[in-house]
Amino acid sequence: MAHAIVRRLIWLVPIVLGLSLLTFSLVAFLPGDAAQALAGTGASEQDIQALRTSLGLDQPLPVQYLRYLSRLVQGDLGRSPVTARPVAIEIIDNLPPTLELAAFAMAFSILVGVPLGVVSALKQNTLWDTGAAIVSVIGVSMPTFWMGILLILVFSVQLGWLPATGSQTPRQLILPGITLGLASIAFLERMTRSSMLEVLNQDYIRTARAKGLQEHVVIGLHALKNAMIPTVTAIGLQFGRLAGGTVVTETVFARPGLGRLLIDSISLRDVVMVQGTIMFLASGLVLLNLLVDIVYVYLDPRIKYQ
Amino acid sequence: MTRRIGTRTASRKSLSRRTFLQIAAGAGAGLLLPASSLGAVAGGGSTLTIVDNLEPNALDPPVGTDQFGHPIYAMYEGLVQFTPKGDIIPKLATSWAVGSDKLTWTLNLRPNVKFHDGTPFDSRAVKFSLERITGDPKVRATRKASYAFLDKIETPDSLTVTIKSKQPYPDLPYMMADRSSMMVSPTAAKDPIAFARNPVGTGPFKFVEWRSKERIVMEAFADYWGDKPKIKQFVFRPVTEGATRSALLRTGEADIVLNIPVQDIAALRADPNVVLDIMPTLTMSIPQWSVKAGPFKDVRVRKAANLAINRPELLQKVLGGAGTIPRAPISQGIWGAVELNPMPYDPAEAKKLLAEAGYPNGFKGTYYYPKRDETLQQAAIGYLRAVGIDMQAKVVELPERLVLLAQDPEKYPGDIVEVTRTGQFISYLMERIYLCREANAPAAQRSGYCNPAVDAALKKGGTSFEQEARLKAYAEAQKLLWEDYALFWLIGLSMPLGYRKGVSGFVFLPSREVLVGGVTKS
Repeated sequence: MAHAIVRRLIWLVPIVLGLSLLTFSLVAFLPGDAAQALAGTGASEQDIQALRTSLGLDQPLPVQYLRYLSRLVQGDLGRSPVTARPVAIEIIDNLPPTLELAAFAMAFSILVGVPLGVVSALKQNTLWDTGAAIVSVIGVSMPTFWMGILLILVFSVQLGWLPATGSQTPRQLILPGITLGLASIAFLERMTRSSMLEVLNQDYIRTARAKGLQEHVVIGLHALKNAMIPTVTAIGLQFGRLAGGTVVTETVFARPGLGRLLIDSISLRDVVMVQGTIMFLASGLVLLNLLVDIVYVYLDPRIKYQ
Repeated sequence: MTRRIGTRTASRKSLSRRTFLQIAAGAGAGLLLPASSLGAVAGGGSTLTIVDNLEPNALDPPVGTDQFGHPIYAMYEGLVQFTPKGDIIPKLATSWAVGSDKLTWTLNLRPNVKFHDGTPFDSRAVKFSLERITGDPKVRATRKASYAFLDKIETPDSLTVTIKSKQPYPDLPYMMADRSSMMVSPTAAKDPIAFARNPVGTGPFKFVEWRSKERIVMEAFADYWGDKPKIKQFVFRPVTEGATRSALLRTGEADIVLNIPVQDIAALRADPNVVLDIMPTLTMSIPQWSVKAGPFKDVRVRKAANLAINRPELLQKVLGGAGTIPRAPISQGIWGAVELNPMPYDPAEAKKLLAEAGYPNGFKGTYYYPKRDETLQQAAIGYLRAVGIDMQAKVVELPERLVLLAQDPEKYPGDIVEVTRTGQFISYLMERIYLCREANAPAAQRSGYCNPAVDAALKKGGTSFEQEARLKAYAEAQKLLWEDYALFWLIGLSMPLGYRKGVSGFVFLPSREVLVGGVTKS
């Protein structure tokens, strides 16, 4: 197992290198001239040239990339030419609200999605099952953006129960958390349902019932526990989807966060910030995937990485 | 609860799994608890909250690329200030006059003014504030080029300052009203990078805190020299999503909201707690074409394009009334703008003109525009197509559009590239767009327009110190441009602005900034 982890960690090197190349090209091959865009419509040619030099954009592309890479290796994500702040500081400022949001959304989707999945599996092909299927279809097909606006209109504007925006109190987490969690509910519900159905048909369940165990013990302990293995993996992978979802959710609910940082940096043509944020998010996801792989082995001893 | 599962004996692994799940659950619950619960949600008569779309990049007056000046205007003041009509009034300078050499301006400063950090405002502060714009490379001023006129600043005494320009520059007082030339505390601004997040000016509000992407909080400055603010706290919040901005106005989380989306105008008008105003701005959509090559070289084609647009219909149906029909080659609300006859809508005449110009069946081209303006620009394309100017629509974002705008006019015959133009005073704006040298400069937006008569009038207006003569010269330039159909003056853009009933006393500048010094809230 330790070997497998080390090997996977070594694999991270080319992956992160590839990522750095991608984020670099993202900016280098963007149509237009970053320095000119940054300088704005009123800038003179000298202003643009000065910016170009200060950003190192006057160097050949390979040199630019190597410089970028050497900064990355030293853990330096650069300094935003728009705000003059280090990208790392902006990321640190904006990371906690995103984590809060993602955790809330995840918890919400697990608390709703898993029980729904169990119920639909137990009551397969009944009204319950159809109801749960409808909920998941709605959850997965409603665009996050639209859902967010809808919740704001109902719960903030019409009913006045919850604040629409901000991030300073737990109440301000509810609407964006639900918005972000909804699509994951669908996914978890379907996942739990199918693995539950599979497990319920296994011999050991029949054995458990045959030896006279109460139904809630059979379901809660024997069936659900094993059915949860693929679901837990799915939960880990859902974080990737959540990272994308935060971009929209944070924008709609005007929350600080990494997704918002990314969107605002794009509007401000802040290339360095965009590069840094994407690099950070992508590396985070790569690490998370690795973590999921490792956890999977612990959860299911039958799995072995060669 | 017993935890034996089947006959498997992997007890160690089972333990790890259990531990993992417990840790995961614990971590999740921990994150749910808020790190802080200040609970300071907007409201009450003592706090005013303004919501606009973007967060400032820095709270340092010359460092800024966009219209998010509300907090800047609350914390800083210039020597001179623009009025909503485009005139200028004294602020930190009480009077000014140019010497007989037409180069040396003497400004008398307001006495007994203090910066928020206690530093006295004096001639030394003026010299410091203006010289840092071009002199300190750490100040990433976006309008360095506009200060190329500066020759020397002297401080004969603490309340007198003389500014010498390299050439006669009658617009110097207007330049001193620009946001970039607002006064900063020489003590606080020594380190420009730190200063950008810890602003210190002389304005009615002083800085309290800036929570990234969330809010900038300011409080009334007790030692303010002028009328003290009637509200205690001013909060600026950046909210990117338009529908959310509208919702915040309806819930009362915001007191004043700017950039209301067109589709929300009707709903907000129906809300009894909200007042919605459509305020004219200095910004006009003037899509650029090449006057140097291709069909638009011919004045008849330029006229045809201008006559093809049904502007009243465009204004009502597409912009929901949030716009103005151009009456001159620059926006109304700029000092010196004249009111000419609006371009009539005459598609029959447009077709005739195209035929006379040698395009009886019209011609083809590409029309580049940004996604944000999609409906407006597509409507324009529709009108053009109806008379035979068959434009293929292409969405391009700003970085790419800037390259297109700056390309050699010979290289894009018959194409149109959307751009909005804005400026606070006439010489700066008109020269940038219409002066032969500027319209052909490689870095600027190049229509390639060049008209010696216009150049002469602009030169006269830009160098004369006699107001009457200047007005006359600029009126002449505007008339010449209008009759030459120099550019495609599509539509003036207005700002839909909403505020809660009971909020009064704020001033909206057509440069899209709200001044909050005099606000009251009941």
